[in-house]
Amino acid sequence: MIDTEKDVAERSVLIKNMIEDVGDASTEIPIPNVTANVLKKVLEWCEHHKGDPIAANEDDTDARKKSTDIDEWDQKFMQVDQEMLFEIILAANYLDIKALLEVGCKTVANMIKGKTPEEIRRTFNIQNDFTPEEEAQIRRENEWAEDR
Amino acid sequence: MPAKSATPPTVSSGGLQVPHLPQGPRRLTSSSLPPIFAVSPDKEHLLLPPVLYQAILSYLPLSQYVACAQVSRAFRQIVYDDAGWISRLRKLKVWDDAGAASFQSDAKKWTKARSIIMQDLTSKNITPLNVLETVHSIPGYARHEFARVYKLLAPLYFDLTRPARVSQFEPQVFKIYRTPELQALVLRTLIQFSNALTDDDADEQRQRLYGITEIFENAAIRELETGLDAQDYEGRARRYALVLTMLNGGNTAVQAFIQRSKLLLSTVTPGTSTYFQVDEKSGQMKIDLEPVKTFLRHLSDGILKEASIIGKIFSTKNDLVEKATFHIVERVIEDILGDYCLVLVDRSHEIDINLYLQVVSGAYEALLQFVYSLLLEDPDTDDKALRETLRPFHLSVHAIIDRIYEQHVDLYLQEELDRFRTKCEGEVSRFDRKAAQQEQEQETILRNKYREMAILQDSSGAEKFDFLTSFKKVLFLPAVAIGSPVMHASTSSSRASSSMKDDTSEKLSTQTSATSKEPLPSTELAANAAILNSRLASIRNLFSLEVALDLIQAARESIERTALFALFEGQTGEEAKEQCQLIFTALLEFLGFHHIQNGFERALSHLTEYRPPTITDDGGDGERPQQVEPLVTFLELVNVGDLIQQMVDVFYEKELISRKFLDRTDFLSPAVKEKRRFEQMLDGHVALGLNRGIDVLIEQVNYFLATYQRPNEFNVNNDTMTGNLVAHDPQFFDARLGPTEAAIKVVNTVSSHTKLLNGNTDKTTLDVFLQEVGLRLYSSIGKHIKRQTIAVDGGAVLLISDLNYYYRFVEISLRQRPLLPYFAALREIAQLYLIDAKSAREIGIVMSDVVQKFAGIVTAEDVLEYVQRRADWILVKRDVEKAVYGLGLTDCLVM
Repeated sequence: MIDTEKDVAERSVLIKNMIEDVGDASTEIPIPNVTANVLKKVLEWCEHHKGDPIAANEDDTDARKKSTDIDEWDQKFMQVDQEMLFEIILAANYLDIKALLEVGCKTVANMIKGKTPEEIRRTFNIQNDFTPEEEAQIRRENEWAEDR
Repeated sequence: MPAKSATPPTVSSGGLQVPHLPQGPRRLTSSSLPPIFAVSPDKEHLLLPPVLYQAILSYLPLSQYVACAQVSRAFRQIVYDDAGWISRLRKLKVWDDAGAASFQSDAKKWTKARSIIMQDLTSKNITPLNVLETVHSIPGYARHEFARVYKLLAPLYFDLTRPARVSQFEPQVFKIYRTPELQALVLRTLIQFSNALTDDDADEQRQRLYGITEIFENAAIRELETGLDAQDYEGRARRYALVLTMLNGGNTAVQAFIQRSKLLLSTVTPGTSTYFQVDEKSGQMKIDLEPVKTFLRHLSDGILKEASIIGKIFSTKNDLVEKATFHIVERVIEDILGDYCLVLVDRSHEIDINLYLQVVSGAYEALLQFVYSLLLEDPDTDDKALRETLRPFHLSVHAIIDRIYEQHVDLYLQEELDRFRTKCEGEVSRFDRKAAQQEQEQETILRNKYREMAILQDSSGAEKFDFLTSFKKVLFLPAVAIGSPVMHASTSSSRASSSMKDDTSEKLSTQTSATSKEPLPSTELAANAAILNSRLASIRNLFSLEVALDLIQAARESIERTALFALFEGQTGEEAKEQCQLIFTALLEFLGFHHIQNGFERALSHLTEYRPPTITDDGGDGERPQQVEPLVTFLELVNVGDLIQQMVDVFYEKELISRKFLDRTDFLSPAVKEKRRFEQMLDGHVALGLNRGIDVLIEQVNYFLATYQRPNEFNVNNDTMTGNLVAHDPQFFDARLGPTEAAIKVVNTVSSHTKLLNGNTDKTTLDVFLQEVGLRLYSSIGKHIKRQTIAVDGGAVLLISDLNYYYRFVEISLRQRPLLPYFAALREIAQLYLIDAKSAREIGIVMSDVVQKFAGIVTAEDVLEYVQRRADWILVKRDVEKAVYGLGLTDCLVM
């Protein structure tokens, strides 16, 4: 069980809705599916970002810059092992904390960026399950998008 | 990020458990088995929801996003998934969701999907210029379709937007496409294409594309302007207008055209100094509208000219023709007419307030008319196209006019109300002063008027009706808001036809009422008013119909003018409506509470002070008028008050209700409240006056009964034997068969006064009044009889004819059923005096009959009192009492 402030916890849309349903901010909110140490990490992020304007609605996500820029604090925050990164993304998705999910995805994207498929496999320890023919076929299929 | 991420967690708890079941302690180095891209046991799927991977990969540049397909089968599945590609096609604005859905629901269509796609691959007709139009919205092929577009457009796009691009190298697109039309088209296509690119440098590329497009656009605008200056409307101007239209829809072409408009550039607003002159007839300042009209005509000619140019330039694009025409009209109104009106209004405000009021509303009407003349009727041109073009803008044009005029309205409304109040106050107080002055002199003159007034009593109903009819007629014609409403003479026949025309003409007639320049048909009204006024001479120092008419006329003018602005949108319109109510309220205030109420109160005080002449007055004055002077005056006033109330009512219906300024049922509205207060005030005064009036009337009746009933009139044969008298003087007897002089005078008095009220007062009020008068008359007569001595022969007959006379009067003139029994009772009582003394017993029987028959009206004591008035009462007393009580009183004594 973790004590936290209401406005911190309400960065999570899921928790916010639950508090609204219960109608009392002092009650316990059960959060299954998220382990305590991940939840602590998530709340740490929420604490730091509690003053941020609530992420705008769906329409703005298109206009949102696709850039992979991440602010300094978040970069540091995301310097965790891949397991934790994975769990944070999962928890952010489950708890519906858009900004955190974004930061997580960007972090992973940055890990992929500029790498060849082989390097990607190595970074994430992924097994190549294609036959050489299949690989050649895929490369042909995607020639159109190759760097200009 | 794909939209789906907003939906609540889609992770099943089972899926979540997997990463939480590490075998042994977790290794924290990056070489440990990374869970992020962990795959399912069949190695086909990644473990997280696909949207999360989509979200992650969407941050990659397109080339790498696609390359990720080579990482593994699971990666390929994410990359090849439709969702990411559909979102890109949506940004290109070429994905049709409904079309895609139709493929999913229609199996037959789906079987054709592949052949459709293959066809495009081999088609030779698809070029960079039209590729966007060939995109198919087929589920499962989104990546394929995007690739097809990309292959054609990306090379051109990246070539054009390369950062190193400087002017010495001509971009490929301009080499491939040489004409400005094609160049416009390709630029437009590339702008659309650029929206789907999300790489890190996409923004810079887009900015460069915009820069190039702007240069191109400016060049095209210059060409267009050159064409316009050379008046080469159908050549160069049209060509580059089309180029600009292809590039961005044509708004800039329209703007460029309007900036070059000769009408807007070269029109000089004429000076207004000569517009205002003194009108020789009225001596008031007047505005000369001719130069205004000339100027407006000049403008509307100019607009028509511009419109024909617009038609030539934008010949192919209807929406642009509309837009350009509308903008020209808008700018003419805003830039030229706005200033023009401001000058006119300000100048007139400096000069004279009445002039100002006319100018504000007049200029507004002229503006509206100006627009409608463009829209509706212009016999000089057959430019139907222009009118068709402007029709949809009708409302917006109106709104522009309202916008430029809004600044004037506030001040105007205030001034209008102020002026109206000042006018009312002036009229009413001038009248009051005059009335006070004349009151003394009038006193004597008035006495001589009474006889004349008798005529009025008979004819007032018809005249009033005439008057009201013509009043309504005047109200229902549109007012000439500008120009003074002088009462022009005009034949009634032409007037009638013109009013008919007005009714049937345009729905716009209320707004363009300035067009109906016919003089107000007030002649008839004025004539009727004059007739009525002369009849009402007696109350002319109490109240003046002329003043009332003047005020109503002024209120109407004000409301007509203000009403123009009630059509405004929003607050201004509301304020104007409120103002109309305020004007109405002010009218009631001055007309009702100052003018009429004053009159009523003076009349009432006259009535209260009035004392009928006492019997000691010289009774021989035969010339004495039969009328109670203040009561007549008062009743006359009731008449007029009623007339005014009807006028106000007509006015209220016409000016406020039918214009929808006011909801009749809105009992909170000040106008409705004030109107009710006005009516209550009238009713209250009428009631008060009638009350006092009855007293005065009955006092007069008593006076007549006392004065004109000669002593012993009913006791003529007191000393002589009846037979003798009859034999002696049959002539005398015949002459006396009619009612006595006193009765005639009483009846005349009552009837002449009550007739004054007929048809003018509320029926129930009138009934109550008449019944009260009847009852009081009954008791007066009763008392009167009890003072007389009546002889059986001669006198009784006279009395009966008197009482019959009263009865007939009540039956025929007053027409009050409830009164009849009273006067019937009197008639029966008269029988008591007819019965010969010899049959005294009969008398007793008749007495009890009467009491029985008129129970509640006549009591036994009453009848006893009456019967005692018999001249021979002493003789018959014994027998009568025997008949009534069974025994004579004397018998009782004996016993």
